Amino acid sequence: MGSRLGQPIVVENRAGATGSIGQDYVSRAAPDGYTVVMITSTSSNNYHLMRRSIDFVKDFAMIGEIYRPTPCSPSSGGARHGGHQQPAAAHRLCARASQRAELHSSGTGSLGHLVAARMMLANNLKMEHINYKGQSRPPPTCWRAACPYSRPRSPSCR
Amino acid sequence: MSDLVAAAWVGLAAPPATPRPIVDRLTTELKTATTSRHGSQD
Repeated sequence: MGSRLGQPIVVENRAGATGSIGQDYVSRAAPDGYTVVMITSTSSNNYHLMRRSIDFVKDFAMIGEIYRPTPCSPSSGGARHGGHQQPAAAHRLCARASQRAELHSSGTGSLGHLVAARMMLANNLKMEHINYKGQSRPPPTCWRAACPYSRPRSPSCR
Repeated sequence: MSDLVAAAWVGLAAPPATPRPIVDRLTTELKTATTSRHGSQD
């Protein structure tokens, strides 16, 4: 976008509170088109789970979609990637490798956290939730083997 | 076990009250940038 707009674009990371810090900042920035924010579906979770004051309808002018990540989830859509077998298989692989199962997410209430928590409950798995400010670490080999389509925010283990 | 459908989305937003022409220009450039790199998402 920068080259087409003829403007350098500076990325300023304002991590924390699952994205709410940066969103608060941009919602109060001058409405001149020089400050924009990347938002995710997790941002809408914050409004309900964290009682954030940001209202997506009132507090932002939506520009458009960048991409749609594909979480590793026991969903109908995920069935073609292994479906319900993914978390259990990943857990078995981690146990076989004597690795502690961890659930990495970009924050409490993030989509990755909620999806992984649902996986844990559905499969009776025990994993430790580890929050990261910003992007979490990529899933390690033991998880990727069972869930090749998992993204960095998906649950993983080491 | 019931199915879980997770709908993830990543997008770009501007502060409220950003003039419509500016938002429209950014929307056009964003769409051009994303489709030229990843192909159409329609």
